[in-house]
Amino acid sequence: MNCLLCNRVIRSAWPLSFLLLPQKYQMVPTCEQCLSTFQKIEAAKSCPVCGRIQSSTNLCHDCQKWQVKSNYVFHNQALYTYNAAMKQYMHDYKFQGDYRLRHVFCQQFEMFIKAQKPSDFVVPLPIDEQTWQTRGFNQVIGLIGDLAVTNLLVMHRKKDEKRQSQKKRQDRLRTINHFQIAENWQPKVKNKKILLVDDVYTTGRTLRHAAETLYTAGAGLVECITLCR
Amino acid sequence: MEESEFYGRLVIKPRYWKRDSKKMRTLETFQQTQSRVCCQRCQTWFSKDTVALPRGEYYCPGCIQLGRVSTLDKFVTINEPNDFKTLPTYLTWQGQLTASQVRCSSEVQASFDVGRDHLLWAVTGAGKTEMLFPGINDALQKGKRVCLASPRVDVCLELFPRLKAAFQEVEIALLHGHQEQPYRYTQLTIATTHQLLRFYHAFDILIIDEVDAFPYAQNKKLLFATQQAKKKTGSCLFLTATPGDDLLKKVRQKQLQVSYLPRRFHGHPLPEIKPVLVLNWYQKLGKKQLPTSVKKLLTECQQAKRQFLIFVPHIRHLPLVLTAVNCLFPHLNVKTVYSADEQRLEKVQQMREQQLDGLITTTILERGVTFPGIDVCVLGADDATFSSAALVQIAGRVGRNPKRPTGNVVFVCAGISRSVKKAMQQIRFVNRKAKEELYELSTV
Repeated sequence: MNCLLCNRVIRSAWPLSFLLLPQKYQMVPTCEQCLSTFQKIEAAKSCPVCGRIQSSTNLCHDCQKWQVKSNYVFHNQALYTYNAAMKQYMHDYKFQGDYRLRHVFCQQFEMFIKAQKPSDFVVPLPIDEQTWQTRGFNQVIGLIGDLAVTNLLVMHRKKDEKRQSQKKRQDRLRTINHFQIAENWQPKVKNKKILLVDDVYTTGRTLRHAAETLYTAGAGLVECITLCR
Repeated sequence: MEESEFYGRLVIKPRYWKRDSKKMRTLETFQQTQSRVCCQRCQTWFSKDTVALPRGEYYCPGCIQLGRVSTLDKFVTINEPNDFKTLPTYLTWQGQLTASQVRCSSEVQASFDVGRDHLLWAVTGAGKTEMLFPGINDALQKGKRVCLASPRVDVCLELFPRLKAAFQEVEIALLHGHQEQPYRYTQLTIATTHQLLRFYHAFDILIIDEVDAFPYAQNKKLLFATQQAKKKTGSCLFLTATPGDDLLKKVRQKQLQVSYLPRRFHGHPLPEIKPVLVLNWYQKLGKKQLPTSVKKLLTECQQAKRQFLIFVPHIRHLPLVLTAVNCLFPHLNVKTVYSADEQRLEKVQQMREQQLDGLITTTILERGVTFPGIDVCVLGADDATFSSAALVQIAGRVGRNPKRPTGNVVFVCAGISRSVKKAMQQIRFVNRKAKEELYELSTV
């Protein structure tokens, strides 16, 4: 088995217990070296609202601004920081479209979601039809793996409009809400607890749009999880 | 996009893209069987479950660096029209070829005219590029499209200014992975072999420099790319100093024409390899010792103020050798260099400027570098990392200076492996050929 990121052969140790005891085979997608370039976020050392890595547990600069503008409960937790290695990974996975790379974080991300408090629906953020035509996959659903998800939301974007990732920060914040509740789901959301899942939290605009849509439809509590912040 | 950008190219077209011109041909991106798919750009097979996208689509991870090919897309191409203005002559190069270079050059040109494949086997430091000029000039005059490809970017970058100086009348496009300028349609193209995957029956003449270099050799994808990039009637010219078994087999079966250029430009034979059997060279390194033959070589170098290169099979051997050399020869200024070294270029430059007495390195310096009048030593030459081609190239670093056309090539190994043996045979073979040629020339 070769590492998905650097394409070198992964050499794993075979301890005696591995050889003797029956166990489920676990595929290792990346080598230790590649995995160590990503930086994990500990909950004790991050912003309580957006999950950004920092030395204290006070509200971060961005979240203080958001708090003034918004009047709903919002909470996000992230697994990794968005560093250079992660940026490269996202480029290869999302924009170059190498769908195999979903295996790199699949297991960990699945465990991370399972470790959260139980919720009624796990909702991955949707992509629009045009992205389905070019990219061919939803990067968030790929990362979640085999976990049961509900596609509550749909997304419609005008053809000529830029993607969030192509905009500057101020333009991103000015984006209008593209999310709608999918057909027939409107009544089923009432007073439910929903877990939103996305790949990257940058300004928080997208996730907050999705949360706002759900709250307007009457959701009880919306929490978010992202792979990186 | 201009229409000429589609001439002889494979361009990926998304499904919803509607603009079509009559000349355009659409090609399928994938060939599918029950359980596998085959990318029509790089001809690699994948099992369906590894490359599946959610909605029953497939993509190719093999050539994803050139832009993803998936079943969501189609290829479009326009047949190569050879739409060029022809000039009476393109060659602005004024140099002179030696007698044996002229002979090879005319043989190559004959192959171009008939449209068959040809191998030009010229020893390291024979002046291969200059030999191509008459052939390229002739092809350009006939309105043919020519491409010069190499597996190594450094080779392409070095060729570009040389060709530009030799053919000032014609536009040349340089294509490689880090190129920022967009593609344009030109009669003469210089490209890395990976870029050939983007072409479809485009070139009448396709020249591949350093065929035996990594990653071209043993890479089916790139072999396919060369077949696909040249026209069906086109001809392919392989240039190398160390042809691999596949090429030599084709020569023996008379499928491939061959021209030898066994003599270096200064006319002296290649220095022969001197193998030394040392069973415990690796253990000696651990004790900060060197094999006697290496010590002798380094002492000689130190006394004569000559530079030297020591090749080792793996990066992890580098510090061991460095400490041993520093221990035994504290007056020598020696450094190590390897592929991921950040100061790689600086160190090689220092070596060129004679600031260093020697470099300890891996196979990265096997080709493309010239240090005049050096000696070379290979530790563990029987290791699997050294192919016979690599060993011949390493031996070819020596004796490139007309003032000192000889030198020492010491191979330290625990046993004479097949590749060491083959390398020695190959050097002896070209030296014999050179002698024969000299004899023929003297009798004429």
